[in-house]
Amino acid sequence: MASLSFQHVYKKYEGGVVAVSDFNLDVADKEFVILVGPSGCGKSTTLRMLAGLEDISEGEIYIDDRCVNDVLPKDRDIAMVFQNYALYPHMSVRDNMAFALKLRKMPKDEINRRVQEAAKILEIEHLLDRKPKALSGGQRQRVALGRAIVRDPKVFLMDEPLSNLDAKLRVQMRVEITKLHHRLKTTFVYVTHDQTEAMTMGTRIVVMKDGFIQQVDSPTELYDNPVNTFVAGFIGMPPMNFINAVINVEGSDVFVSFENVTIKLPERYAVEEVMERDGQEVIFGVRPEAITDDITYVTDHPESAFTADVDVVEMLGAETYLYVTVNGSLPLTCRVDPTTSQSAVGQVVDLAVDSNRIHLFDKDTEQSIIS
Amino acid sequence: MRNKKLVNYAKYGYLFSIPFIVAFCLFTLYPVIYTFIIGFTDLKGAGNTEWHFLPTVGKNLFANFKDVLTSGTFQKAFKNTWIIWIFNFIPQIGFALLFTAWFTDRRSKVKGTGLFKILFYMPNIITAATLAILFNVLFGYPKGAFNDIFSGVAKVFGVTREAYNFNAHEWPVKIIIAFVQFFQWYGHTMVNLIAGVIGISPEIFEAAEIDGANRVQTFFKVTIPCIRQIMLFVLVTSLIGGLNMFDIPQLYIGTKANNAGLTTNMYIRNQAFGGSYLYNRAAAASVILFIIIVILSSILFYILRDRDEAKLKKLRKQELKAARKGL
Repeated sequence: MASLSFQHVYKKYEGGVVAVSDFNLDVADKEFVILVGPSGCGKSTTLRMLAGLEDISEGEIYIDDRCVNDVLPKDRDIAMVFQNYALYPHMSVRDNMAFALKLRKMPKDEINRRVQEAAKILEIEHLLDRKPKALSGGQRQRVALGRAIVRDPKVFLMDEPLSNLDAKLRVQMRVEITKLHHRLKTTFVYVTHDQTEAMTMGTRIVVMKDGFIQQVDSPTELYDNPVNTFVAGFIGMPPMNFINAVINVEGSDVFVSFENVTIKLPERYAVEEVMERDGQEVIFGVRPEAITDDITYVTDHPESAFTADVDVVEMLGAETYLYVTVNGSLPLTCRVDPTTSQSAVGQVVDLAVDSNRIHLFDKDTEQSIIS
Repeated sequence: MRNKKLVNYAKYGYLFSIPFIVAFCLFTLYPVIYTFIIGFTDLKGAGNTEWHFLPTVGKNLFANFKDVLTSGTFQKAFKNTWIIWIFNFIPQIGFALLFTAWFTDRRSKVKGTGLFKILFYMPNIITAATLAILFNVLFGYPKGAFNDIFSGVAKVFGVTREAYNFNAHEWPVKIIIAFVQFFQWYGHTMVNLIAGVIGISPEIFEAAEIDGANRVQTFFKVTIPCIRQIMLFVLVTSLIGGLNMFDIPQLYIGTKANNAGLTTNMYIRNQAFGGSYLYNRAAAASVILFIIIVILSSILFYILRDRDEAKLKKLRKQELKAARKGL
């Protein structure tokens, strides 16, 4: 169990490539922090610097107030789970799990106890004498987790550990890892490019892009209050709709207009940051679930209603995605309730935006206008 | 609806392999079979092509084999071959492993490894004749590089030293030949081993690093077991090459120094083309060597076989059986 601190950490490679820039983050003890972002954003590099597998170009990394910049990986009291599991192919599951303990010259009884205990937690007791080759992807993943658990480390590091699993198993292992975190009560740092994993597992999420931290927040905050269009677009599936719109201020009322559609914004948007942009273009963000075709809602909210042509309807069981076009040119995605939706391909439907759940971003900086 | 017949492309594969099969049959299979047959005949003498199976001329069918196996020269050649191979192979694999560990160590990040690899591989592309001449010059008598160095060093200490004839004594000859073989092949072995190590996922080494293994532990507990198949390949090919050793000892020393550098292949050559033209005996010796190589290679393959794969197959069979029973 440990706290972590990254202070102005940089990773610069020969040739001038900067993989991580001014990375600052404090992780509290027992937190489950997720580093998320697209490929090449620097999340794995950051994790590898924490593990000691990559040198730090600038800045300091602390584990429990101890600067570990020059500490060897084995002396950092960390355990890591790799994307392709990195199990030793010539060793049995038992030996894979016991390897680190044997190197530390731990008594045999203690090694056996720890291996058995971890195997029990992960339900792999019957696999202990098998070699990795004889295991399925999910079982290998469990062994990799077991190898980390037996170490009883201060920090668990996981580098896209579920990427090689099929969709069903990924969901199952996601739950298992979350349970494991609750059970072990240890600090977890988890890297993924999958925003669903990030949203469902982390207590805090660090969204990265091009080596820079974009936002650090809880999953709910990230979803509800993204600081810029990148975070807003990255988090959420289907992604947020971004529309070029114009702000119109009439007295104390604020409207956004796009494609012959005018939507009145609630009173909370009548603030200086918005009012001063009267007549200016902004990026209007609206999540698919904030657009509805529910006839009652549309009738009750004429100030945010508009019509659109339905291009595609995707029925997913619990929800339906409508891919519509407004005014023949603006594509939008809506997530609607399949039990009430009557929309069909080729129809012109009435839609309404839940104006309490919209986002406004600056056109140039792409930063959220209302903090 | 009529099913369209699928186009069978397999026949084109057979068609394209015909040149190889013809060449193999003519230049490999036929000579091997012919050698096997000749071993049981009385074929000898320059230009003679007429032969008879030994029982038809009143001799034991295996007389040639008996003659070879009881020949003191063959026994010496066989012993020499083993001594030279062992003295060559042990340092060869040792140095190759050492350089492999050095060049593939991700923590030390050695610079210029490409250049070193080329330099170490270089002796392998030099012809055996060149190497034999080079080492003849180095170990020449009475004037040679080593004799000059030893005399020079002796002079410094005020001692007069007579030149030593390396090529007139059995053990120096064997050791020099073994060294030349080592010098020629350690780079090649190293390249094979490096190729094996490069094939291992880097994450395995990182996992070992995090697990707390130091460089030596990583090399012996992770790297070597992971390249077991490459090690087997190196061992078997080296064994076959070693038992077939011919060019270096033939060119370096021939049959001088009381046959100190005589190998089995040289013995075979000498039987066939050394003046007596005993083709039958040479063929018998070839067959003996072939059988020895097959037996030893089989033993190596058996000892170093992938036991996990066999276990895995067994396990899968059991699971399949159990599943069928369940049905």
